[in-house]
Amino acid sequence: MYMAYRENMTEWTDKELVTRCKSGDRHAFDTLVIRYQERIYWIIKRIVRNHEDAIDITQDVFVKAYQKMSSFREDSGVYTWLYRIGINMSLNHVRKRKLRQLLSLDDLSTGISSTEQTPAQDCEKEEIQRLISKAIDRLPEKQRLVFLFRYYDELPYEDISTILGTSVGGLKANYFHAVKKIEAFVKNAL
Amino acid sequence: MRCRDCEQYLPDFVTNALPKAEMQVVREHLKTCPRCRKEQENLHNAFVLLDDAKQFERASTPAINLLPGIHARISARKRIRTPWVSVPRIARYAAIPLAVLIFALYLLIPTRFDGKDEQIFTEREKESLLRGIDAESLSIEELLAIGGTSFEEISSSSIPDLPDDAFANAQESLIPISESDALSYALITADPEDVLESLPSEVSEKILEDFEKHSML
Repeated sequence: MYMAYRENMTEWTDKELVTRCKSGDRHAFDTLVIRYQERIYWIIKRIVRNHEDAIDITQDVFVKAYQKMSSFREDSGVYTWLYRIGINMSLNHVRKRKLRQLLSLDDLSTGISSTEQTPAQDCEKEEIQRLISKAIDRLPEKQRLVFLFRYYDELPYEDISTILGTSVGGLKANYFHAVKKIEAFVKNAL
Repeated sequence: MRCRDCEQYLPDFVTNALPKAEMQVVREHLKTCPRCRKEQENLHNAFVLLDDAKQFERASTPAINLLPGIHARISARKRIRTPWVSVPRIARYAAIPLAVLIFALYLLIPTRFDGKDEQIFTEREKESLLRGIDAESLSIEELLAIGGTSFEEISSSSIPDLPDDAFANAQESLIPISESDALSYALITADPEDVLESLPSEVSEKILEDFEKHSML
């Protein structure tokens, strides 16, 4: 009976799960984590470019969501809300990291973990992946975020607009220029 | 359609993410604009590379399960209240003044002991009470309660150090007992050595004197 209840939960809508969470149902919260952990992880990883940091921040996103669930007003979907928490935490992390690097507290290479750096395996795909990551890194912040949200997470422009507070027209232009710059960077490097 | 407008649609056109009507408008523009066709080709190449890299990256990263880590962090950071349970805002705001009020009442209302209730203090509480004690300001019952004892207990077994005859005399002398005597009983039952050490020397000497006086009875 109980197992069936938990299994059914995976079919529940986000809204139902949020309502359950607010009434203290821990399994509803777990279902939300299972549903969105990968997507949140990937978007964070693409911003912070480091697996360990991304895991750490993703966990913090869900802990924060757990603690703030009662104040979640449901103006947007729960995913957009988690997304926004994730983006804010990742950007803060990147800014702090840059500041530390500026102050020479960290080695300049610490931003990217060893797992991100390709060993000399002459794998073309790895090389292209590395170049793309580098190209994305060089984009202005807004263009980078729009690209990440739209390309990797396929978020509708309306959701991105809510997250970034930019008009849909502006977002489309940002997306176009971001892809163009990435293409130019990779082409020049190859 | 102007080229500038077309550009905005191109990434979604290339990835088939445009609604049908807009796809058609872009398609029509591309037929007549070599510049935008070139842009389209470049974007197409970029998305081929991006798609390959995305697939490769996904395939080379193991699946993640963050639940255990999240549970551990929640347990570590959990406060006394369950954070996600909806508590009316007014109740939350009222909680702190209410707690302060209860604490203030607790401090203001003097505690009385009837001598029969067993008053159990922790060692720390005893020590803290005894350290700041002013025997003159407390009743005998309160002093005995600090020692975790009562008249009945004193008369039975709480002064084991006294010889039998002295104990009988002490029992008799309980009725006219003075505050300082009561304090010494309280201290004896509390844990004499620790308590005496924690008191100012003149006070502890006085207590020892009283104690010896009772032992001599």
